[in-house]
Amino acid sequence: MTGFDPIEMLRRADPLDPLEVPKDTTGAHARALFQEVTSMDVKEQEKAPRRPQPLLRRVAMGVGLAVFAAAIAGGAYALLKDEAEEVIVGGEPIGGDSMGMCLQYTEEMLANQEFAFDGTVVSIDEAAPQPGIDVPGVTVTFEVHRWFRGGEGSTATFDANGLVGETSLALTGPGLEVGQRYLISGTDSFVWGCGYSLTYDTAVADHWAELFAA
Amino acid sequence: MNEGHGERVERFRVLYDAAYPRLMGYALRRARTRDDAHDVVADTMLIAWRRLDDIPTDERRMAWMYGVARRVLANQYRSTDRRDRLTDRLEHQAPAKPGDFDVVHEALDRLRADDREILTLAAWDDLSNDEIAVVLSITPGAVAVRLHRARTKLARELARLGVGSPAEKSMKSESRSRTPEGVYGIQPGPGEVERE
Repeated sequence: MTGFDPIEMLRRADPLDPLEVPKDTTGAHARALFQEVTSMDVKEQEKAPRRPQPLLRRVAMGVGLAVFAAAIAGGAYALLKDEAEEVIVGGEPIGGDSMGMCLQYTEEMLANQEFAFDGTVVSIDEAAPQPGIDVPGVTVTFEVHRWFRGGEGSTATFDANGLVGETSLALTGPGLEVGQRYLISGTDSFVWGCGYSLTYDTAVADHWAELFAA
Repeated sequence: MNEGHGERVERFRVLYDAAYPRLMGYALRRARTRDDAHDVVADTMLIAWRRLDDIPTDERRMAWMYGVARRVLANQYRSTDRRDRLTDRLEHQAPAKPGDFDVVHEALDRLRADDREILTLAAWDDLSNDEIAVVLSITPGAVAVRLHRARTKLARELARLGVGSPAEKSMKSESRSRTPEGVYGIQPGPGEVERE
């Protein structure tokens, strides 16, 4: 069975006329802008000149540069949001992404997880190694702020082999740390990494609430 | 670095020639007017000119430029203090719209801003996950997760509008896929449409 690809549909629905996009920098606007920009002093405190026929028509250029500098310093944030809501931006897959040992992430598999919750790590303990696994056994205890599925109570402990610190198998993403907040999912008594558990993110939490309630 | 003006201009020229067409496309799709799009590109190029020594010289340089343009555009949005539908504010529309053009944009408009952003960076600006990661200052892993989630939401909205099959399947071959038997049907979500 073939489904449709929403990305491909979106690509075909590009609102921009390709003929309107310059293919190179030989056009009049591109040439004029290049001349304007390269005539500017490289010192940042100099504002863009204001002219009656401006190519650089930005008012208060210093404001734009300040926003840029603050954004670089502040890290990721949804700059295009209109409302100034308090959100936590995270969403980093625990133990990495699709490299190496990771299963492919799919929403179908996430929706079929036996447990899922929003929780903060309160302790990490060694456990006896699992048969056939080369890394030490690890159990992680969470303070659960919200169950999406498969549990109740304010604490829960799960196996988290390979998802803690230097024993992280994938070595490309964050591991579980005491005091940090996550969105956790898994099956049986095992926490899954690779997109199935992530650093806490407000938007992802909303999505999980909807997904697991369905 | 002790370089003359001419050398700096030549170094900037290489970046400019590569970035200008792409940033014009990016800005024209998102700015309120064509003049606003020109402003976005002009401001971005001026920042690049002044920060030339800070720009990566490898494959991340274009993503860096997109990241700057994104912040410039966000500042422009704040200063105009209103948001318009993408198709309402564009002056230049595709000359021949595919049949589902309006429906696709209706579905897109129902998504959250960050979902719209990551989808359009992938679909219209043709950025890779690594490039999107630089633009949004997140890891490629987070891009993959967010893009997948946004794609699923778009498919769900399209299904609600009667387009395509509610049973979505990825068109990319993934040898390690372990999709369980049966297909998870996209259930109607709880009530309210997410909007900015």
